[in-house]
Amino acid sequence: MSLAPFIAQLRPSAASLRALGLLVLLLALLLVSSGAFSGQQLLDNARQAAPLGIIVLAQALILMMGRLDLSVGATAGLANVVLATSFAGDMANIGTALALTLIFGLAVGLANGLLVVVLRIPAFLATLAMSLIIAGGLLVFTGGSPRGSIPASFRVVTEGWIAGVLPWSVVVWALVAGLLSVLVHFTMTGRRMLLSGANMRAARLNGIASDRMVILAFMLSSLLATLGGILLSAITGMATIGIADSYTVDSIAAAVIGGALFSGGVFLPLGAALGALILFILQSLLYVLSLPPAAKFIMQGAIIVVALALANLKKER
Amino acid sequence: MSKAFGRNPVLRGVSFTLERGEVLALVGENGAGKSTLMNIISGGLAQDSGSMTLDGLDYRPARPVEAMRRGVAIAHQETAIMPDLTIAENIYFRREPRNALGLLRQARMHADCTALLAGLGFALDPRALGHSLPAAERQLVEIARAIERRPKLLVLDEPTASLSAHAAETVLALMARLKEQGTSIIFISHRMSEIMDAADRAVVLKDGALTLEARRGDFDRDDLIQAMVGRTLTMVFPERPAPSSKAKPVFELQSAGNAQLPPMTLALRSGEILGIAGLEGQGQRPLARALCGADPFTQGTILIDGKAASLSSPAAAIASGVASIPDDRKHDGLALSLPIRMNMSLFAISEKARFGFLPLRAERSFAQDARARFSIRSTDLEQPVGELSGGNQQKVVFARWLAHVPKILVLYEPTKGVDVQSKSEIYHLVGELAAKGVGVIVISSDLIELIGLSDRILTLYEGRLSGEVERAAFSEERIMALASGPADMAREAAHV
Repeated sequence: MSLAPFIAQLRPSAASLRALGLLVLLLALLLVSSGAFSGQQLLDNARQAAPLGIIVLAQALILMMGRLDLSVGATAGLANVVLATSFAGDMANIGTALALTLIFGLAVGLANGLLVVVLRIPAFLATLAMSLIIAGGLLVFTGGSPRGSIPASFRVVTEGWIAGVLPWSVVVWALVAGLLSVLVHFTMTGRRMLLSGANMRAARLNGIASDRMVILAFMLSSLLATLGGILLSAITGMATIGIADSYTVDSIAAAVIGGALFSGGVFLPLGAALGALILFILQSLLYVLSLPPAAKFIMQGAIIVVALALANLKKER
Repeated sequence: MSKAFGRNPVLRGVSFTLERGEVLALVGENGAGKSTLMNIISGGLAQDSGSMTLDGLDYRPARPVEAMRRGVAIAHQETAIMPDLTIAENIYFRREPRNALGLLRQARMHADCTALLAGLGFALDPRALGHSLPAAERQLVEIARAIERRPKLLVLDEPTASLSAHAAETVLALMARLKEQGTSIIFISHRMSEIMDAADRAVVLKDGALTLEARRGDFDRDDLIQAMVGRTLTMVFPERPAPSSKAKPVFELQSAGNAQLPPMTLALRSGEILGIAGLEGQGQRPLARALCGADPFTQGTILIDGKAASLSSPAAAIASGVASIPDDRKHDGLALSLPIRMNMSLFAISEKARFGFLPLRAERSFAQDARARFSIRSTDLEQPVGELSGGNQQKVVFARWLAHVPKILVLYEPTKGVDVQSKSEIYHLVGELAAKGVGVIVISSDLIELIGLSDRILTLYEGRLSGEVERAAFSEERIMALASGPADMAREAAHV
């Protein structure tokens, strides 16, 4: 029995390798500028980057379908408020809190999917509208000052380290990336999603229920955004309005740095993870260099341009 | 003249001369390089090497406007008619008569247009909007627009492909008049009878190279076909016994139609190859889309193996045993950015999947076999299918169905943009499937293909079947006459 077909599915793409190169470069810069930088610190960065990392995977999945999800940040913020409110600081509420938060997330995804498939609203606009509705809804519901908090014993999800060497949140992140890899590269459903994303018309004409694949992708996306929001809540420990708003744009940037294409048909979980790390390390680097926050946006923009220019140069040849 | 797109050469050192007041027929199969050559002549593309002279002066138009300024006009086949402008506005686009203030003189333009159209013998209303015109009228507008520029050199790219026999005669007569007035004409056509009638000279392209250049009287129909195809037709098409007339019908339509397609009745026997011919835009697309379930039949009865069947969606059509090969493989057939393997294996993996997991080993071995069987030329199975040539892409579309042999195979322009070698391979494959009892429907605008491949040909006119010809009675003229849809032919067809 040859394993070659299975290994071939997991070969890292050129885009992922380019992202890896970029990450190494940033780490080197960080090492030079901060004087000392340990593996421990890198893992701590990864620990804090996990919420973004999981949301980038959500975005990468939607990009694979040739679409954009502009509601991931709002959905993560929704999860934050719902989780903190329903926890109300008491670990005894964990069952209801998690169930309620996930149900809200799935409902957002289902609504996105139906807006796109049934009402034929372009995903870009449908999810933009959804993010506005969520943001407004949260303000109404909380009156602008959300209550509740995350019990300390739950915060171990992001604050805890397994045997002091591996942060739990990194394990969750890797697990999600692994499961999505299995979905896309090893299951029939994933293949149907990939084919639909690469060419919706052709997929439909070949008997694939592409509309269902789109709804499924949006539900997965919102579910992952919710998971990202839960991890983020574990880090902050409280509810904050608009806490994850920047994640929408960051998730698109990171996915694209990691090799995702707006034209669809590409899913690179490793690239998406590297893209998230790159954005996070970039922030650390700017902090170490004591540059103003505005520099983050400029650098982020520059990195997207460089990553895409490299990818296009490669294609020309 | 030579030109390559990427690594694919599309023109290989083509040279020819056109005299003043001469009609030159440019002949070749789809994908032979004709359109590329015409685009270079009309300034839409630049050649890689080679040169042109016009009236003895160096001619190398950088843009279409420059070609027009030098007196070269082209009437494209895929007409560029602006849907929200009138016929007159389309014809005088960017050349509209203006007054001293630079404002448009609408009345003057429409009057000019009426006179122009009358002079050309085209019965068109200058105020009709572009989107209201059927294919044939759009083609006439395109021709009128080119002639209005009073070119020295007029290029007509398949001007008659969408025209009825009568309208085609009008255009051919017009060409003869322009020629008298000293206009030189390059004329692209697939219709042998027109070429024999109208051309002073014929130039044949095959796979980008010039294979024949001959004066009127020095070539005949067979010479042209031989030069186009590179071998005799008996080698291109499979040798097949006639299907048994006792074979049971595998597929029947009984008054089946939808909003775009008037009710239609036909029967296809097991093992039969049924050709569907017609001028452009006579319902071929709605028929192909209805058969594959994309725009389903909404009325009438569909029988497969004598039992009522539903083609209400692509998935339902596939489940009923109807396989479709679309005409636009890039948009309707393939995921261009994905590997050949994934594009070929869709049905193979559906049948072998266990517990929802991809059967990766079975997929790979299926793809390897299919690639070898169809001699698909690619670097490996992981090459994105968009990087392959048209012929190899089309073979990938066909290969999908190896895993799921259908009862009925519907081919819509199956060899558009496909090289001769791949064409022949596809025809032989269709022949093999028919020999296994698959009923085949070929909807094509290529009469040589239909005549070479079919057991029986039906003609479509305005969405209705207008005639039927059995193999023994096949001739280009007879099929064209039926496809032009005179009333008596339509009445005759009603009895079929």
